[in-house]
Amino acid sequence: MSEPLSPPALMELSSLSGIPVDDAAMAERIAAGAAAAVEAVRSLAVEHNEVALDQWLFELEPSGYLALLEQLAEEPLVQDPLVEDAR
Amino acid sequence: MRDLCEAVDGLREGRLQSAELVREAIARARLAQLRHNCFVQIDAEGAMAAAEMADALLQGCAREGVHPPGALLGVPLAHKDMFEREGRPTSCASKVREPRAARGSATVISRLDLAGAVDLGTLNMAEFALGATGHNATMGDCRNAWDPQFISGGSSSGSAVAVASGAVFASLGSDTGGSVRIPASANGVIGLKPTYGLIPRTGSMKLSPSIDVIGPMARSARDIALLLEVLAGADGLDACSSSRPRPRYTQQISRGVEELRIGVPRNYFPVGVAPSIRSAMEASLGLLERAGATLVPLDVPQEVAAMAELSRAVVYAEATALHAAGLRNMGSRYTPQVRLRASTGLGIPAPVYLEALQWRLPVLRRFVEQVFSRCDVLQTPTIPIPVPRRDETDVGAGPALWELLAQLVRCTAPFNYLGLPAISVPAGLDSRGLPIGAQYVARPFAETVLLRVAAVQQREAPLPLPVRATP
Repeated sequence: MSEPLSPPALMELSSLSGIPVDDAAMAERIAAGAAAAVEAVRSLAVEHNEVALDQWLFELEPSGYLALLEQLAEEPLVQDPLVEDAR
Repeated sequence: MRDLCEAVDGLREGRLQSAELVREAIARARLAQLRHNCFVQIDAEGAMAAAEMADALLQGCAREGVHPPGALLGVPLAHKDMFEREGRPTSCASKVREPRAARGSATVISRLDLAGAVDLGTLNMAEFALGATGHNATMGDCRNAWDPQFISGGSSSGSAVAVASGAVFASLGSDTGGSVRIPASANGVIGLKPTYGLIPRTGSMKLSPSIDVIGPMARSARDIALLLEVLAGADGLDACSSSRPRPRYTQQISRGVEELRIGVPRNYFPVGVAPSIRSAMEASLGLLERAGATLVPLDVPQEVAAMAELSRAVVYAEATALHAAGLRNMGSRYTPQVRLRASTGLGIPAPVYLEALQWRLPVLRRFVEQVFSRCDVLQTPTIPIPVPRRDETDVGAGPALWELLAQLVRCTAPFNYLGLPAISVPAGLDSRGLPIGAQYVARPFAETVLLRVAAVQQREAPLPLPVRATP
């Protein structure tokens, strides 16, 4: 499990981006929320390291997400002209 | 009046008048507002004017023997206050922005207008859709339709409460981590999170464009089917909306569940489920089995345990980017919890955000191939714990926030990351008389299968409206 960003580090990022964070308590809570998400990405990458660099570089395209959803759907349907009547 | 479809039929057959329906809806909306704080604005005058026009059109069609246009002609609806309507400000249940009249209408609002729906007003929500409980320090908390001491769920809090309390027949919400399904479950109505890309989002408030979907809530599965026919389909403006041909949802819904296989997860989803919720899930499975479905116990991929957090990596990075100007210039106008959550992307490095988006493709492919090769529909609870009290969960920006959120979205957020369709269906009441919801999930664009399951569950175990909302 990776450690959350420290409050001073988070406040430094806040200062760099110009998005204000009031105090160390708020910084600590932001860091805690973000840390769980960052850790999830890291652990997934470690668990599935068979996804080779080549796949990221040449094959998988995040903008192909909708196309993948469509591909994984059941057989394509024939458009029913009556569907337009609903509007 | 049972549901939206019954109202549509009554209007078309001349047994009902829109003015009469809308007058009743206004009275109920005012009552619901007093008890539950579910509206931002009730537009009684505009709604009555629209109802009178609908009646004139219906009567004209009846005289001429012509089928009335519009699938929803004369029916009162209201929606989460995050969809633009030309000439009207969209509050997003926040005081951060100055009110500004919209220059155009959201695609979903235009489609409902074209179908003849009467707009009764706008509904309360979590500020900027960042909240799963229904608390809102700016607009006031939206309270559960069955008992105001309990949370309504969120972020589409007002939508679920307005439908459950009988103020409107149906409503639109949005779902980025469970924001349609959680309030639908907590208030005993049906809520659909469609497949990512099924309903265009043009003109609706963004929280996380890579994850956001718009979803309908209603009292019956057939109402959801009718609304989907009106709402689904690319508009040529939202680049992430699908042009895939769509089925006639209303014709598919009565096919029953006889040949369907219902997947019953053995791992992740049963962990931490309260006994009352577990019993309700078992009862729902029992009635589906008796209706002819086959139950298939199965293991879901282990990585599902990380998906709620993977989703959060995307949502917070995008939300912080969208709110950056607001946080820099008007940070103090945000409520503390929303400001904290909208700032959480500060702690997500850009490569991690992009990696979370990359991983979605192989993870989605694995999940669909492993799970939906063995079943047609997966069942989980919508919320794994009994509906909590408002005072117990009023955590603001305090240290209990992340744990509470993690509990509430445990079963819903994984399917936002995956973009899969999921529906919450009422599955009985707990010992305190509060609703329990069962969630059903299917492969991409298989909304018809979800509606078939929901229709059977509702037929076999109907849940009434809350006692106080019953006419």
